Amino acid sequence: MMDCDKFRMDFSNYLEGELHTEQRKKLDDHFSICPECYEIFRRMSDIQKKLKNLLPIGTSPGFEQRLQENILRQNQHPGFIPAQLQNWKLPAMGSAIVVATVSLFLVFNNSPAPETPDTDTQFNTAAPQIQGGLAKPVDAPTSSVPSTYESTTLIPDSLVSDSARIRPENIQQVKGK
Amino acid sequence: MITKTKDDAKSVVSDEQLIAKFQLGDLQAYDILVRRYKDQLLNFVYRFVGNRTDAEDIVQETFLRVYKNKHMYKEIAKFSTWVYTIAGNLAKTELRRRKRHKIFSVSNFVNEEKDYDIPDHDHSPEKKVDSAIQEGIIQKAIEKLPAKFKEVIILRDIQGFAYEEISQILNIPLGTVKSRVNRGRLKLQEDLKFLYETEPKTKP
Repeated sequence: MMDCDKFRMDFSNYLEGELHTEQRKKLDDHFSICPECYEIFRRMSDIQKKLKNLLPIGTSPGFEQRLQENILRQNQHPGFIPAQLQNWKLPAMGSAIVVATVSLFLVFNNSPAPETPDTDTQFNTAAPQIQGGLAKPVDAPTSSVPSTYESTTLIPDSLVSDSARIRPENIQQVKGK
Repeated sequence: MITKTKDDAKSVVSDEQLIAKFQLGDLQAYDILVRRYKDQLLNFVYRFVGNRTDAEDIVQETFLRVYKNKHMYKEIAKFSTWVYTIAGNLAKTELRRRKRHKIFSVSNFVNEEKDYDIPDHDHSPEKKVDSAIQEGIIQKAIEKLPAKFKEVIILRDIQGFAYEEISQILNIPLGTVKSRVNRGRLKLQEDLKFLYETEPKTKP
């Protein structure tokens, strides 16, 4: 039995013609005295032929089409992020600009005007300074308020262009009062 | 005038040249590689997992990975070695997944002997089974082999790879491949010996 195990280790080499003449003869001699080993070898050889002759199968007709679709799907939806958003920088910058603009507008538009203007801290330092308060009530009739007041208190500095803010004629009108 | 056929083109342009072209962005080269390998990969994977639909999904995934990871291929190996390694690993992953989720075929719930009892119960006195049934029996026997024997038997005896290339695909020493092929063949003949019980015994 020990010899049989040893010989069986060479069965594949025998089948594939990789044994030297001497080794081959030893195995042939063993086959002549061991029908069990010979039977095993015969079956092994036959099964090897059967494996070679197994009918090949082919891919289904839509295989390549399906592959193309899978490639497209993976390229278009990596991690379920739409293709338009794959470059995040552009939409992020746009959103930041919109948020910043809206925030600035809300902050400046809703902030209470100071009772006494402070020329050092006031955001609109270039505007003419009025003593006795600059804020005009929102619901106050516009006709009762001089036009110069409107231009210096209601319009936030950020929304007024420099050229409009430092018009000399405006300054002159305030001084005249 | 002689025009070049597809086969001519195949013999002219090697797999390695095609993958190099694909790495440079030539999608047509990729298509040719898919056409060259889809059927042989399907046969390899099918013999491994034993289910055609699963096998086709695995081959799809193999080509998707080739597409996505084309730059990971290095010219030191043959393209066939690389693509078979990918497919083999995916097939093994599928088998592990099935084991984890206990998705067994009916045959897995009966013992090994009963699985092969199908032809014996076929009331034919000669126990002669037609080739289709025999193919099914052989396929089942392949599936039942331990994975380490199964992969070498499929690559060597069904796909016809050289021992050296099998060694590269599986990343195991050449001696180990030869030993596993021999042990796999011995196991297979043991599992299928009932097919030979009534056949005449003749010496070669």
